[in-house]
Amino acid sequence: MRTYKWMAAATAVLSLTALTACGGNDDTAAGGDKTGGFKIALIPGVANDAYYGSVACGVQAAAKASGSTVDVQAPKSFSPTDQIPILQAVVAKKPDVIIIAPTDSKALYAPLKQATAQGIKVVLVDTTLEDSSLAEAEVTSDNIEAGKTAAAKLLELLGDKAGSVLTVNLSAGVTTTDDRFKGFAEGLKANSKIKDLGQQYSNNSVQTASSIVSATVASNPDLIGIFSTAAFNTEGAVAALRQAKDDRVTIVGFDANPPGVKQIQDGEVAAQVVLKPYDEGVAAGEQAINALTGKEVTKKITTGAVVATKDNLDSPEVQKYLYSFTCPAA
Amino acid sequence: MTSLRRRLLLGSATDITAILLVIVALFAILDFEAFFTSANLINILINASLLIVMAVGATFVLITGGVDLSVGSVLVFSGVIAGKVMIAMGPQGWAASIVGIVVSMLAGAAWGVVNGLVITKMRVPPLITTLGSFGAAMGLAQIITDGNDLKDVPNELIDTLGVGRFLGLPWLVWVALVVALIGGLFLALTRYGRRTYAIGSNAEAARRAGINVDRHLISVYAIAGLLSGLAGIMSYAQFGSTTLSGHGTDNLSVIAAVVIGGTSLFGGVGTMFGTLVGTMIPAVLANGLVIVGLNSFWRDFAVGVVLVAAVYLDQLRRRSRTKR
Repeated sequence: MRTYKWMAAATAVLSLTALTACGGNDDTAAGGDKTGGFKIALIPGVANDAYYGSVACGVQAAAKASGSTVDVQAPKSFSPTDQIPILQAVVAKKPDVIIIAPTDSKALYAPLKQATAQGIKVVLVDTTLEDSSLAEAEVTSDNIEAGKTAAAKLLELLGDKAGSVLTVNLSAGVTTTDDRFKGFAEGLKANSKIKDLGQQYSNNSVQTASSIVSATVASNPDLIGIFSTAAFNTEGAVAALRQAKDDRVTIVGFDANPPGVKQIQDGEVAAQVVLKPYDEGVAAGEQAINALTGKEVTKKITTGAVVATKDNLDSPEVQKYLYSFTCPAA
Repeated sequence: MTSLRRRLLLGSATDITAILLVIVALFAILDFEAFFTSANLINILINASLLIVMAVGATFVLITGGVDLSVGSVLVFSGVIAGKVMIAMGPQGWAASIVGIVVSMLAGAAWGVVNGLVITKMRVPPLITTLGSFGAAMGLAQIITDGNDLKDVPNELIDTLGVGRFLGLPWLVWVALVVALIGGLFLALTRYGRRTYAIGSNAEAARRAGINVDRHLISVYAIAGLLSGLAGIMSYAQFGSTTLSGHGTDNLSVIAAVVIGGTSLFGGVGTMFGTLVGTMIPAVLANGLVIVGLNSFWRDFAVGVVLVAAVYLDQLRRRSRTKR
């Protein structure tokens, strides 16, 4: 019996050894020279998200120029409770700079302050802090503008039809998606024949988004347009309309994740508003290097949006910005 | 230390303690400079402290043969209630801070009492009862806040419980260790603890021996709720936000930690020391794997392996005991 017991314990420990051993190739090549070879740590808001995949591609492209290395560590949920422990472990490794998408505008302040206290530079990407004075630079997307772009596109697609339009939003209190709705609602006022039904929250659940849309289709026979502020919502809206066999409704979605691209190709979604995470990553990486080499740093940078439709999907201008884990060949 | 006292203190936790030490040694060898600093080790403790507080309550619950899936939601709910009360009080000052702590613990305890009453009086199994309150507590927290995280925390609370230190250790860690110590002594040395084991071993026998099983179970779930409430105000102070979306899987982390620590899911067996070790293993892995440059997702994989190995050890022990 005892042998079995120790074998079980040994197996558990061995599998850990194997795990850690293959990650132990920490190259300490980064020297004290001030022109390149920096250690950059990137902490996105959440893992397995093609948006942050594109941000990482951008940072890597910017890092390449100075021969710097990028270590990406992502939390498993978009929450400070998952992100802060990762940040602290990254700080313990003492990289030259941390590029981070803070998952909470307040909670991340104290841990990032600890990083800067140890001489690690901080650059914020995509999301930001209430008090961002500790950061060398912040790179964000203009989501209000992106919402207006979505409204303009939807009005263009609807032409002179009259009817009502629903927004399926993520959850209350998410600044990026709230801004998208704000911009969209403002843009929609340009056409007085369109009635704005306001927003409903899906809490980032495909099922909830789907049931919101089916209920609205049933209760509003004049529904002609849906604006979805995030990928899951679009999937839910598409599913609901497919079930209702309803082709009066035009959907304008947000984000060009791989499923989002397919929705355009299949004609289920008329257009997707595409932010420029790749540009965000490049800008954040460049400002990080600037800060490390003592060059001038641009404190605030905003990147814009493009609209992807079936017609322009294959154009290089749009292709470049589709969110992806595989980086475009530079 | 005699072998009897040693068994009482460590119980079945000796193997798992060895695993923890090996993991620590491994990371220390791989990257001593980054991993084995006092600052980093304290970080690991900070990140484990919320789970430790909840795991102490869960240890009692699991020893009775029950389970509590509601801890993470009760944590968020308690933080939200405390936050609302503190905002109503102006949101700054010592008075608001102390009232916040008390309110948070009471809100948590209230959920615990509800869980206990439903389980004992209405005879709904603990798994279903606490799955229900897991959803209900989170739902209420969302309704109260309209889905927006509260962010007004008294500076006094942030400077002490949130980020403050006492004798070099963060308050969060002190609270967790004191809770674990008190919980451990209670479990090992008092009549209350012995009754908890007795109910977990055989509830019917305990009832016939004259123990008021229902009342005891209600109090056990109330303690688990109270400690979730304490964790709620700790979380609010630490993150400066009610982190509505940040505790969805706390319940599973807590149960995994307690079970890794040698507490049996069938009740009747378990120690607080084991729970402490069981909580530290995932925390050390989460930190160490990032430091050695591996993606932190490997933590989930590694914790899964350790969890199954720990239960396998438990099974082997049971079999060898029945053979004897």
